[in-house]
Amino acid sequence: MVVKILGATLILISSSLLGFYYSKSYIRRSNDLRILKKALILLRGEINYSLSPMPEALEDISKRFDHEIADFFKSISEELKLNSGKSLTEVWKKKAEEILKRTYLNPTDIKNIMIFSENIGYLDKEMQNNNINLLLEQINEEIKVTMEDDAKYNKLYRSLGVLGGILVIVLFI
Amino acid sequence: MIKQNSYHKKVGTGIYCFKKGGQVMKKETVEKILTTNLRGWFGSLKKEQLDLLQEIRLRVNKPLIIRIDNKEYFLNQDKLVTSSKRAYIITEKDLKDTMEFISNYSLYAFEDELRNGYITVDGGHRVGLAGKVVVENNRVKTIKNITCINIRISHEIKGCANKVIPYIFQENRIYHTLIISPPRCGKTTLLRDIVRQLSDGVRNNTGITIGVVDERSEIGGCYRGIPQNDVGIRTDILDGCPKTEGMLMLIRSMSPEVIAVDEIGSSEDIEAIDFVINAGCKMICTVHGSSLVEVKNKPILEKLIDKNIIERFIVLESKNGVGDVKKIYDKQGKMISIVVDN
Repeated sequence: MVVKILGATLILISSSLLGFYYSKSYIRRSNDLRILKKALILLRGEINYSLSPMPEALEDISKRFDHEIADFFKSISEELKLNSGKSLTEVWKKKAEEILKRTYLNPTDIKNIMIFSENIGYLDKEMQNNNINLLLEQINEEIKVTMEDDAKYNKLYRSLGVLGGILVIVLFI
Repeated sequence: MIKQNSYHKKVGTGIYCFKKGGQVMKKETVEKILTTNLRGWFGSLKKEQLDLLQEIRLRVNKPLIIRIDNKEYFLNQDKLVTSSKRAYIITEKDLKDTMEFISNYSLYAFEDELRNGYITVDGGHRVGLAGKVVVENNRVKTIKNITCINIRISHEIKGCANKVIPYIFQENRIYHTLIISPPRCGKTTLLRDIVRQLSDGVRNNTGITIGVVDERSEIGGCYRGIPQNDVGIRTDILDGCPKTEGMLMLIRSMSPEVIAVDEIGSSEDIEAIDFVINAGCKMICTVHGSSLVEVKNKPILEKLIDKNIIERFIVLESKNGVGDVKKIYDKQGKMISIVVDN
């Protein structure tokens, strides 16, 4: 009997945790999106006001916070400084695939970031601003959707976790 | 030598013959800005050829042209060819990549430069650009679709001013000097070396504080404000600054003993020069022209010359090589000497 109760408790705890974990995924993604947004706003500032070249701008921004997105910026800047002859777009896309996968951003976000890289650095400030603003708008939209989803599904996942656990326990008993 | 130069003996200076010996071409800095396709091609050129490399021209769908010692060549892989048919044809991608490297992935940071049509890169090389010009309110806004690039290799010829220094620097006194030269005769190179020598100090004299207004980034070849060419240890350089404003700024801020500027021409320049001279500074400047008479006849420069302010005129001519003949005139326009480089 004791074993049964112990097993049942374990199942309940793990399934609830799983539910909680999933219910938090929206918040995590929106957090990452917010950090990305902050980074892009900083980049826009670097471009507009200090006119610093891309490798330096990215490096400077990467120093200002501790997150995978900072690593992403930093590794792009490091690769560009090697003068390997790769274009910024190539480097950007490669690093996005490697590093952004480790974040909670979903494939749509990563795709947007890759599309963004096709016009980065090219021509004047105005174009850079438009390009960054476009991505920022997309991010804002995504943040909004995520928050709505969070409101909708947050409780669902949590109750699903707990109830799912109970279901399994009932079935086993 | 056209004329035996007794002057040097009198001053007792050691005169060296510099046969492009002090010339430094920064190959790495040139290769760095080229598309990966073309990197390495220049490594196979002979050292003498590399030293005399003047221009690399890239045009979309046209052969790659380089200019060595005033002669034009086509390049394919690592071979110099003389026929355009066998030359490597530049693709649009080559140009796009090259642009990216030239601008350090950040064309937006070069808006002003694009408006002027050139960018100075690491190493002091000047990259001229042409393509589709975007105009807004009758002013050039930017150049998009850049299709022609001309990389002008910056050359420092240290020592090219050795023979003229004794004429502009005598008994601790510097003369107001005007260098007159047609394009491509090396007036900027000469000016740079004069600045370097005066600033470092010639003949056991301590150097002189020099202010340079480098409107077109040619003298110092500054990259992010740091001169890539040796302009001496006592030189302050205002990079990319309009000459007229720059001269006044330097006087107010850096208290130079000598001010050097390249290619004067407008009446504002002359006014600023007047101001500099009245402030007790010495002036070293250059101007386009082929002879002293021609320059004297230019209405704007006439003012300057008629006042008998300029004490030394150096007229450059190319006989066997770039700027190898230098005629030196005094205040009254009397020729003091002709110096010839071997």
